[in-house]
Amino acid sequence: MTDARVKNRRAAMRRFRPSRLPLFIASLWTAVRLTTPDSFATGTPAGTIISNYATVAYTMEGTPRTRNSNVTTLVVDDKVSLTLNAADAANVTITPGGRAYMTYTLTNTGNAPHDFTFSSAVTGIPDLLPASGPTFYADAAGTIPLPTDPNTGSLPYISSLAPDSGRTVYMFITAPAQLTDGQTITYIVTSETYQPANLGVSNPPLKSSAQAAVDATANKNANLMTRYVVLADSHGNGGDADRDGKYAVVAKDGNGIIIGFKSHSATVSVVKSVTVADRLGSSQPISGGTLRYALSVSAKGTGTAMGVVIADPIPANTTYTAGTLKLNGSTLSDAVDSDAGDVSGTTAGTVTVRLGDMTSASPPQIITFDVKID
Amino acid sequence: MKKTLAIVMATLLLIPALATAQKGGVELTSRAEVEVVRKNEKGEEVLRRISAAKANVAPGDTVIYTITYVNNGDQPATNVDINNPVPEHMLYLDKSAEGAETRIDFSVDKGRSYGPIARLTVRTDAGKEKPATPADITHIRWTLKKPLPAGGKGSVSYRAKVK
Repeated sequence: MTDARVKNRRAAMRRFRPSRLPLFIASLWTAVRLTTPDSFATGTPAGTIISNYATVAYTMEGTPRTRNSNVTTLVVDDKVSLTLNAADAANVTITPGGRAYMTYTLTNTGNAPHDFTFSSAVTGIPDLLPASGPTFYADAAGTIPLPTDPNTGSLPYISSLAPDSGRTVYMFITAPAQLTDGQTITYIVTSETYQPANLGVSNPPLKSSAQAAVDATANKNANLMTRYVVLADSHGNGGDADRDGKYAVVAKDGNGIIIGFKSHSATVSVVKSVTVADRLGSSQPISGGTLRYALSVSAKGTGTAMGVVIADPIPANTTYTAGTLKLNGSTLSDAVDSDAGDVSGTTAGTVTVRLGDMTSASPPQIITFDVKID
Repeated sequence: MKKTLAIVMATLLLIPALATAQKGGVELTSRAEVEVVRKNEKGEEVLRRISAAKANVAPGDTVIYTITYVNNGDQPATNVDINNPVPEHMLYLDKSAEGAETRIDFSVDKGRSYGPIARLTVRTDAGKEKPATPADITHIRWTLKKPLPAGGKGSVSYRAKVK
């Protein structure tokens, strides 16, 4: 409590000293003030009672008189309002079989706490279903899944989100292995409002609570202090309606293009050629002649091929010529050691060269070695 | 929950205090209503007023407060001032105060001083004076321009929006 407030409170107490009852009221109001935020970005809390009365002052037969009117009261209804924002501004990279997430922020723009479920639907190419997911998590590491409610078909949800509060959730998928380079999996994500604390059967979504609204009207006519649920939400870009308790969103980039999980993969290709060099200068592969194999390895696609390893068995009826293994013209020792290649070390009878990560920007890697025809 | 209970109690405690005023003389009746769009028998959309207590009232909605006055005494009342504090959680709507044959003044300092809105000022947090806005209004006062004769009646009104 600030000094100014202490002062105000003391002043209020002094003013009301003659009577204990108003002092009681004044301290109640003080208590109310202390538990209430000073500004309501999303409005007066649901259930707040607003009272109004007027006073008249006049003179009659030379005597000044005052008089109060009756007090009118109304109760502030439960304004259901939410927004769901897709936070990504560009496609999220995913590798075939890999896991990635998109980020969404839900904000309760109503004036009462509510529960909010999340659901998602694939848009675009129907074949592009994830291998698993989407699964909603509370953290970007994807270790704390949101709780799910069996009564809503196991939808994940956030419970009792306070008015004017936001929560960021992370939608993870595991991409199908057959996803090809450049394909994008896109989603509509929808959040729906439920009454707090109870989801599902015992507490249907607010949009389908037509009977609840009828009951509320009856209750309100019987008891004017009943608070209604008023659906006041707007719609997102995902095709939901105004005032339906839902907000659906499709992630888009700055140019309005729909974004999602975009596959970035690379395909490695190997082109193998052979030249014959025999002692007599003939190009016929005859016994005792030498074959020089050349492998050109390159990657294409928009992604990165991680840890490319080329393993090429030495052909039958030939013998590897020691000391002839080269990568891009530089000799590699035949032993397993710090250089990139070996012969019969990693795998018997096989030339093995570790090329590391490759992209389409990598120059072709040329592997050569000689064998002698038995 | 604690808050709602506190307000209910405060309201309940206030009502008996207000009801102890003397009989006769000038009496006031306050009414809170909201405007809703309804269809009439011809299917046309018409604006109707219903009791705010029975209507949907959510943040951003406008409530119309009407105060009717009647002189139930057998003598005229002079210097008649009707004063309505703008309720907590409500914002007075600019130019909404009405009352035939009245002068309307406003207070932005909880009723200590009154004047036309254009002449009122408030202090900023930094202590600087600046012109008051309708949102600063705490009280509305209607002063009847003429004495109210015995049996005379009328009404004044204003609109406010739920914060």
